Amino acid sequence: MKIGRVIPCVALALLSRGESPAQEKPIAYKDSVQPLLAKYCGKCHGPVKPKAQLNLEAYKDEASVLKDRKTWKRVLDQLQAREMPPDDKPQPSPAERELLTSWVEGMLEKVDPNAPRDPGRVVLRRLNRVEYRNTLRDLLGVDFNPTVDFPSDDVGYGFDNIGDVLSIPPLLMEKYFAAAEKVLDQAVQTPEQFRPRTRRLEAKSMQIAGGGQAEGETVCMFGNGEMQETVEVFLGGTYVFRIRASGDPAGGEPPRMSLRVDGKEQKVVDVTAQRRDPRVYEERLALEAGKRRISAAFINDYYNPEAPRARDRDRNLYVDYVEFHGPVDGKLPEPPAAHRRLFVAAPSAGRPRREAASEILARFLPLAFRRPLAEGELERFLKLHDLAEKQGDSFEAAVKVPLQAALVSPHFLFRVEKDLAGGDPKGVHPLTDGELASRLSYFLWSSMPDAELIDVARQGKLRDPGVLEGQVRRMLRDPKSRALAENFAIQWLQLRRLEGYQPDPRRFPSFDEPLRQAMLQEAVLLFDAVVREDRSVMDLLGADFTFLNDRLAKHYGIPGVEGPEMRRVALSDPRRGGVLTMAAVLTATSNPTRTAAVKRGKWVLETILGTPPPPPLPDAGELKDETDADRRLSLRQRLEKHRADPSCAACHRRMDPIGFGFENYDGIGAWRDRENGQAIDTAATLPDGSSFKGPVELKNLLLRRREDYVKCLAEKMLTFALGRGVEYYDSLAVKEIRRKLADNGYRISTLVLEIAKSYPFQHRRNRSQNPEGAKDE
Amino acid sequence: MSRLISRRTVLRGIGTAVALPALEAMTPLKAFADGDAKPPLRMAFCMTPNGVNVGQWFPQAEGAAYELSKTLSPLAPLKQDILVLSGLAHDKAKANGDGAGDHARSASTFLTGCQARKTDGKDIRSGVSVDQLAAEKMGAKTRLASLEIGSERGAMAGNCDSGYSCAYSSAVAWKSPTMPLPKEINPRQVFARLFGDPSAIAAERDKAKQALYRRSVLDVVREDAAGLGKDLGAADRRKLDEYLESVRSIERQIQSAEGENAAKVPAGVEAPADGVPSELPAYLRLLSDLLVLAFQTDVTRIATYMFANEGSNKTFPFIEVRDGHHSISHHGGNKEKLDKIQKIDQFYVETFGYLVGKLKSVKEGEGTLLDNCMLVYGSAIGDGNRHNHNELPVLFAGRGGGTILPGRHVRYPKDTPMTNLFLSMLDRVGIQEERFADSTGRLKGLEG
Repeated sequence: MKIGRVIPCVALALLSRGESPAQEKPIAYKDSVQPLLAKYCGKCHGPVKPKAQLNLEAYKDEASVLKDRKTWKRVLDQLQAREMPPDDKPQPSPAERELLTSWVEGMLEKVDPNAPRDPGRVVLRRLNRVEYRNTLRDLLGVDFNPTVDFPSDDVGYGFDNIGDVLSIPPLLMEKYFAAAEKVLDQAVQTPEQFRPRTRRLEAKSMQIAGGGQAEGETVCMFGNGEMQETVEVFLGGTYVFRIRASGDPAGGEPPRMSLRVDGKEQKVVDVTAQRRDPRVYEERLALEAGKRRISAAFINDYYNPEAPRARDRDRNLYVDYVEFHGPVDGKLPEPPAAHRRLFVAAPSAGRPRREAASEILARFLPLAFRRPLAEGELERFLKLHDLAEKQGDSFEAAVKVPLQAALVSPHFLFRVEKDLAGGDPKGVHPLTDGELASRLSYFLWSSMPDAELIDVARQGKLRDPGVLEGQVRRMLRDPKSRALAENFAIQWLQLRRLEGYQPDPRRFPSFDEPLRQAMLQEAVLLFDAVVREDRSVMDLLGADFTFLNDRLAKHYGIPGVEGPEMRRVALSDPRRGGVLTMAAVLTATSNPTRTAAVKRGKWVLETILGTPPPPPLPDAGELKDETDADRRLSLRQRLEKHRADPSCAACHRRMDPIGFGFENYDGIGAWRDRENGQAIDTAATLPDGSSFKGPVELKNLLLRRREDYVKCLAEKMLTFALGRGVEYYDSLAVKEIRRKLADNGYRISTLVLEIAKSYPFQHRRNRSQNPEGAKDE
Repeated sequence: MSRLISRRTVLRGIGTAVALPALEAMTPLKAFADGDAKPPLRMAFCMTPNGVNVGQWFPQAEGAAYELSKTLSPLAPLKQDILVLSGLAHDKAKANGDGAGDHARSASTFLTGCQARKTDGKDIRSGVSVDQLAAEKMGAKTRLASLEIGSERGAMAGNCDSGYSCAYSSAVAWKSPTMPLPKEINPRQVFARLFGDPSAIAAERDKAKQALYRRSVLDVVREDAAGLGKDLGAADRRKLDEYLESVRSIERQIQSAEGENAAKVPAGVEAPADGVPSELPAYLRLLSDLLVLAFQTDVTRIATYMFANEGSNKTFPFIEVRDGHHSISHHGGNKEKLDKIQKIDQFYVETFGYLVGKLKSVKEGEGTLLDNCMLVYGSAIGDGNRHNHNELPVLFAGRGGGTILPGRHVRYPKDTPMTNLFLSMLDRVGIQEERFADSTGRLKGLEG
C-alpha cells in the first residue's frame, strides 16, 4: 500500500484553519461525495462494464473505501492531475473537485480505531554514505570520506536514508571492496608494510615534460626536461635508487642527470656511460612517507650543428628505468591508535596465534554487525585468517582478511532487523533491545551505537522506566548529535540542492564558495543550537539570533562581524532570524538569474506547513511570453495573469502570495527594496483571507500556523528516524507526538524523545502482510 | 633541441589537453577478449536532457542529399558517419495517466521503453534497459559487463520531479526493473574501473594473493547473505539479491583480471587527475576519451553516457548561456530563450561529434573502431517546452560492423517507437528478441 505524498497533509480544505488543531468539518460520503461521483464518474465507472474494472458504485460506505485505499489513492491522483473526468466529458467545478480530493485525502489518512495497530515495516537498510563514514569512524577510528568516490544515495520521501530506495549496484559493491582494503591499510600496521621493497618505474611509462620521447624501452631526453612519477611511500627512510642510463656526450661534457623529489634536487649524476653501453647508477636518497613525486631530469642540453665532429654536436640523455629499494634503515613506528584498538590480543608462548585472532574477531564482529554472533559465525571468519596464515602472512596481515570480509558483509552494510522466528507471519513484535539501540543511534548520530548504549541493550534494560529517556538525552548532549542538524535538518529544509547550485555570476557576483558554505553553516548551526539548548521548535522559524561570519553578515548588511569563523549573533531586526529568511533557503528556492516566487511558496507549503501542492498539470507549462505586451509585464503581473486560468489558480493562489511576501530577498537572499528601479510590491493575501505586507508580517502569519508546522516537522522527523515514508497508520503516533510537544512547550527534546518512544519506532511486523490485510507491496 | 617535441598522450583531466592521438599506434592489434580476431560490435547510448529547439534541429531534406541543420552543423566533418533519425517516439514517457513528471519519465524510459512507476519512495520500477539486456548476454566476455558514465551525480534533494524519485532522472541504465545503475562521474575513477587502481598501493600487492583473498572473502559474505535471507521478508530479500548480484559481478572482474586478456593500459596513456574538471567542455571530452579507451581496449562493449541528468539546470557561461538549462527549456516561444537552447543543443552535438570523431580515429582491423560501433544520441523529450515525447531528436553513428549505412537523414512515420531501433540493434549483436518493451517491429532502412 503506497500513500506517498498526500499523507503529510490534508490540503486545501485546511488552509483556513488557525491556531487550534485540525478539526475539519467532516464531509458526508452519502450526501456530498456519492452524488458527485455518480454525476461525473458513474457513466464509465458504474456496475455495467466498468472502465478499468473500476466500479465506484460498489463502495457503499466509508468502511468499504477504507478497505481499498490503493484504488482510492489512484482515484485521487487522477482527480488532482485532471486526467479524470476526460476532457470531452462534463467537468466538476473547481469547488466540487476540491471537495472530492480533500475527502479522499481525509479517507486515506484515516485509521480504523478497531483494527490492530500497524507499526509498518522498514526494509533492510543499507548504510548510506554518511552513515558508512561515521560507522567506520566509530568502529575503527579511521576517517574515510566516501563522498568523493561513492555514487550518491538515492533519495526517497526527501531523505537519503530510506531503505526502499537504497540499492547496492555492482559499482557500489566495488567501492565497498576497495574501501575496506583502504581503511584497513590505514588502521592496521603489518610487518609486511615495512619490509624493504623494490619498485621500478619504467622510464617509458613515466610522464615526460620537456624534450623527451620514448623509444622502445628507453626514454631519450634530447632537450632539457624531466620524466616523473608520483608514488606512495609507506615508510620514510633511506632508499637506494638505481637508475639505468646512458648518454651522448657533446661539447666536452657528459649529460648530467638531476634526481629530484617533489621537484627539489637531491643529487646530480654525470652520466658517462655511452649510448651503447648503459650503466646502473646508484644513489641513496631520503624519502618521507606519503605521496612523493620522483623525477630524473636532463639539465645540460647542448646542440651545436656547426661542430666539426658529427658525434660532438648533440648531447642527449637516455634512461631505461628508475628503481628504488627501501627503506634500508626503516624504524617501525608506533602502531596507530586504530591498530591498538583492534588488536586486543597478540600471539605469545601461552597463546597460539589462532586463539589470539579469535579473541580479536570475537570482540570486533559483534560491534561491526551490531549484534551478538550466531553459532559458527566466528569460525567462518577465522578460516580466512587460517588461509592467509598458510600463505605465509604475518599475524596482523592474516587478521586483516577476516576484518575485510566483515566490512563487506551484508551484516555490516545493512541494518538488519529480523522477523520473529517461528512467529505469526503477520505478527507485530517489539524490536529487540539491540535493534532498538541501532535505530536510536542511526537516528541521532547517523552512526553505530556506542559502548554505553550497547551495554544497556545487552543487559536488556533499554526499555526500563527512564532508561530510554536517559539515553536519548545523553545522546543529544553528545557532540555526535550534530548529525541530526547536518543530515536531518539540511534534508528537511531541502538545502542539499544548494550544494551544486550556481547562481548566474553576472547577476550575483558576490556569490562564491565561502558564501555558500556560510549559508549552509548558518542553517546547521541554528538547528544544532536549538538541540543543544533544548529550545522550542518554534525558534527554527522565529529565532532572534543566528550564526554569521564576516561574509554572511555583510551579505545581510549586519555590521560588526569580523573574521571567517561562524559565531552567534543576536538579531534586533526581525527581517532575519529563522529558516524562512535565511539566505540558504532563499537561494535554494531561486533560479540562477532571478527569484522564483512560486518555488518559494511551494517550499513553504512543503517543508513548513506540510501542505504540498499537487504537481502541475501536464499542459501547464511555464509563463508564456507570447506577445510584446506580455514581456513588458513584471514577473508578478505575469504570474497573476497565469493565475487567471482557473485550472492553474487553485494551486497558485496558495503558492504565489507566499512567494510575493519574500520578494524583498533577491536570488541569493540579500535584502532589496527595489527591483529594476521599481519598488517591490510585497503585499498579498493568503487563501484564508489574511493579508500581509512584507516578509515580517508574513513570517508572523506563518508562525501562527503552529499546529500545521509542528505536524509537518514531526512527520518529516519520523520519516528520517524510521527510514520509510509516513503512512496512514502512523497518524495516531504523530498525534501523540504532537500532544506531548504541546504539553512540553514544543521543546525539541520532546519531539526526539516521543519519536523514540513512538509505536512505529519501537515495533515492527513480520513479512509483508499488515494487520488490515492489505498487501504492502 | 634537435628534434620535434614528441606528442604526449596524456589524459590530463584539467584544462583542454585531453587528447588521445594516434591510439592505434599504441595498442598492438590483439585478439579481443573472447579470443576472436574479428572485431566485436560495441554499443553506446548518449543522453542529453530537456529536449531541444526542434526548429533548429531537424534537417529539411531526406536521404543522402540532405543538409545539416544549424544545430547539427558541428557534425559536418562526420556527415558520412551519422544517421539523423526523425519521427521516433517514446510513448511510455508520456503521462499516460500519471500526471506531471516528464523529465523523470524521459530518462527512465529512454533506454527501457517502459513506463516508470510514479513514486518518490519505495517501489521504484521501470524495465530492463536495452544496454543492460545486451550486457547480460555479451558482458561475460569482457572485464566489465557495461560502463555507466555521466557528468552529474544523482540529484541529492527531495523528489526530483513531481513525485518521481531522483533515481529516475539520474540514471538511464536499468539492470533490472527495480535497479537503476548509478554512473561514475569522476574521470579518475572511471579509469580505475577500466584498468585497476592506478595508485601504488594496488600495484605493489601480490596480485595473485589478493585475488585469492578477495575470492575467499566473497565466499564468506555470500554465505552471510544466504543465511540472512532465511529470516527476511520479500522486500528485504530483494535487497539481498541485489547484493548477491553485485558480488557476482566482482567475482567476474577478479577472474578476468587474472585471465590472459586482462586489460592493459595502452602505453603512454596516463590516468586522469582526480576530481571533476571545472570546465564542462573539457570534462565531457575527457569522459568521451575514456569511453573510447574502454571500447578500444575491449574492457567493455556496452556504455551509457548521460551528458547531464534529465531536468539538469546546468549553466553554459562559455557559450554565453547563463540561465539554467531546464529553466529556459520552458521557453514559451520566446525567441531569446530558443536561441540559447539552440546554443546548448549545438554544444552537446559538438561533444557527441568529438566522441564519434575519436572513435573514427582509432584503427581497428581493416577499418576504424567506429565501423564496429552503434552509437545512439538523443533525448526522450522533443521540445522542452511542450514536453512531447514524439518527434524525438535522435542521432545514430557507426556502421554496426558493416550492417548500417550512415550518411543519411531518415524520416519515419509519426510515433514510430524508439524501441524499434533498439530491437534492430539487438539483432546485430546476436540477441534475437520478439520485441523489446513497446516495440512494434524492426526499424527499417538502417541498411540504406
